[in-house]
Amino acid sequence: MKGFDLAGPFRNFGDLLRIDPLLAAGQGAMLGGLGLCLAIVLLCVTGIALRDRRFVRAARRGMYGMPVLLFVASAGLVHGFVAGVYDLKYIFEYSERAQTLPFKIAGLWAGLDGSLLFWALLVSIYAGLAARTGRRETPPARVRMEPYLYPVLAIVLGFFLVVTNFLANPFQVLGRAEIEGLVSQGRATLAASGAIADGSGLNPLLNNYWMLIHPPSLYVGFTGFTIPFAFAAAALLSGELGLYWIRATRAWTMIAWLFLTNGIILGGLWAYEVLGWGGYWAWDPVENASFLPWLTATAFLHTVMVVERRNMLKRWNMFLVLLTFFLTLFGTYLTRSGVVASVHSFSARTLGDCFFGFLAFIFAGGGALIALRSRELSSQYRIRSLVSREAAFLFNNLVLVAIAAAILLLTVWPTISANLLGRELSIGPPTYALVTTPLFAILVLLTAIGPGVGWVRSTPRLLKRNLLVPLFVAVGVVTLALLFWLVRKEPVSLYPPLLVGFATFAFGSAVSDFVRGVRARRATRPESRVRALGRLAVANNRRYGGYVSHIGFCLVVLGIVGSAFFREKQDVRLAIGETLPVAGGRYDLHYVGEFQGDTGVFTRDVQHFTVHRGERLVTELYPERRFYKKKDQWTTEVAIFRNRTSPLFDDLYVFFAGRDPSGGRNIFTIFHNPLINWIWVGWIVILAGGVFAALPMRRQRRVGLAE
Amino acid sequence: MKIPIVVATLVAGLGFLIYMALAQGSIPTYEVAEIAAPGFESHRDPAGAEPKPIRLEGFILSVEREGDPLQFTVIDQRKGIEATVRVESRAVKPDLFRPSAEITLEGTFDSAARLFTADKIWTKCPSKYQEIENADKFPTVKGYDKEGNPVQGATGIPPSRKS
Repeated sequence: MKGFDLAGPFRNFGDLLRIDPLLAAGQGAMLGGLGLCLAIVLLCVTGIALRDRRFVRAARRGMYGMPVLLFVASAGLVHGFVAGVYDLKYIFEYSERAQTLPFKIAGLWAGLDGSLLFWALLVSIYAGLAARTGRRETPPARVRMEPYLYPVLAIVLGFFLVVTNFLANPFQVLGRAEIEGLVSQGRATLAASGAIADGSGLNPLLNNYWMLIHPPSLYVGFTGFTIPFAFAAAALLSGELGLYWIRATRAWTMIAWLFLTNGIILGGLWAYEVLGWGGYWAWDPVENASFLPWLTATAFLHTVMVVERRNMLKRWNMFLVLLTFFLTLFGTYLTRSGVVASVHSFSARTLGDCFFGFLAFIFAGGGALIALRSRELSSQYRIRSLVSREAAFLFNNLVLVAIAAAILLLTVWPTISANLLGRELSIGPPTYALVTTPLFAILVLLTAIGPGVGWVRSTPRLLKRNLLVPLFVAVGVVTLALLFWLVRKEPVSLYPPLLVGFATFAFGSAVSDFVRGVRARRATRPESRVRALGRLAVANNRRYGGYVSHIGFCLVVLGIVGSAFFREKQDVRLAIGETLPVAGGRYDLHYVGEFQGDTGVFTRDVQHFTVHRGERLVTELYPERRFYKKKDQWTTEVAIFRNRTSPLFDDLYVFFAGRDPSGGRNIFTIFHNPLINWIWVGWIVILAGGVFAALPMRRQRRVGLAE
Repeated sequence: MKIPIVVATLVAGLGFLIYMALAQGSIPTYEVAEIAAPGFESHRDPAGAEPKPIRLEGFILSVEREGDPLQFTVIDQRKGIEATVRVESRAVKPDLFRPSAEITLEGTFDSAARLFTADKIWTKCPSKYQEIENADKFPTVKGYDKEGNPVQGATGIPPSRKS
């Protein structure tokens, strides 16, 4: 196939032995990892054919070796970054001597080649941990599934290692001709030894502490979905379609989901604090790519309860698990292949074909397996009433999957239209908002209703008991909000009061479940309220952790409504000494002065503002522009004032856009984002609830797993 | 069973929503040569009042005027095509804005004045080893440092200094 360099790893190994043995070890381990994947597949196939468990046990031990080999490979590459071996193309492109240690380590995931190795490393760690759960040789379902589990994991890992070894190799050594080319272009200088003296440096936009935490969290999330996929595929292949696989899958999905949630919101926070357009979500293809598996994984985490409780929707859950994994790869494909244009796109290369092939394999294989096992996956129960917990879960799933389908279609629309209509048609954030906002509104409403309805069917009395008070509160809040807006004569869109009303309803619904639980406990036991709440939560951690996450979700909705519908933007040209009233006179922004500096890596152009509320000085802000000499690139540093003391939780956001050449004024963009900090508070609450729900607290669960 | 009815309603509603959104929100993308061709006009809605926005993709050839409004020329980068369009914009200039940068503009084209008015400007980060067609047409001055002195090995425009 084109683009494949089959001799590449061997050539690199030889070259690296001369340059640095540790790097050679890294390349060797990366190639060895691929060999081990092949061995694991062969061992399991032999084990299945001969019905001999010893081969499977050997494969399991082989799986323990994967993280070791890929750790050596990654550590080798990181060693190259730290030691400054710029003869490696990847290290040359994404690093320079002047960088601090954390950013040299972050070089591992700064570019395409290294990020795929990092991806493989994370998958291998998960795979090693998943394999370790098999060492007790129990329960029987796990044992029967095992010969199929490891090959699936090995094939996924093998795919990534084929790519990193032969197609996008981070250990690729620059040839003599390439080095001379770089020197003649003035992009590189040679040290006395003949090696390249310094790298060309990380993209300044990535030279930011978010680079150290956002990509790893996102990747730990993405890669985590490999394990649920492997368990699902192994269950399908082995026919062990009882409750074991779904329980194992749920736990791993929960972990991956937590990291993915965290990664997505961190990405939003990064965009918000760095990019300077006052928002956190732009419906960029890469953002969408991370959101798609989040939606389907969230759907799975809800209906998995229906499987466990009522043994229904098994086929649907199987589909969701496979779809989630598919979407994590599809997102990688979208953004690494140049199929759609994105600010995040890595340079387009032949990776596209390779990923496309693997995606097609996963899609066709998964689909065929579900079709083959369709009868075994079908359940003997049906949903009897639309007003039941299982129906609520099903609707929640339909809406989540509908959102995912809509976002997917809109993301690829420019590509589809270019191919089908002969003209690339782009769409902007308003189109995404138009399609998804009503769906999100329904989702928030279902979050409110779901916890209040009972399994199988609900009586009107039950609904009244569970939902009436939250409903009244919500209606009250909406009425107040509408009155407030009418009095202030602000244009009223239908969505803000609706969304805030639904979110209040959902908030109340979750809280009222806690209240009812505490009351029920105290009716039979002499406990204080606090103790009752604690014991209740620990005894039902999945349920109450879930409700805490719902509360966090409501807070995020509040923050999004505030910042999306009530954001104010001002483009201004200011001279030093001027004062500007912002946010409808809520603050006065005074332009004090400016100063310049030079750090060696970049020069700074800093503007100084003070923020006043009435007579009171609130804070000082320093929006800044930086010029990276080596990269010949400007970047901007946004200044944000977070008003933590007001329930409005608003941000004043000052972006230094540049200098006005026609006069002594400077150009600024100023945003006022009301309620935005509720998003970050909600994020912490969602994570706290999720972690609490994921903790193995109940003894029954252990018993359940061992069945 | 009522579930299929609910599902069908949801699917139909979603389909309609997406159709409406795409019909309304799709912004066609053009190359410089296409809109520079005679007779091209930005699409107008039936009332004929406001021209609908289009996207324009090209490379920055030169910057005629820094400031408000920003004035520059974009060139079609495809081989064998020589077409340029003048652009005027009051939008915030991106950090990577400079001659030879690949850009996407959103705005309207006035064929009478042969002027594209951009409301939004995006720059694409050029990949490292990308060869630019028509490279010989770009200004020979390679770039400037912060003090305004020419620099070798880079392209750029002088950073404006406080007067």
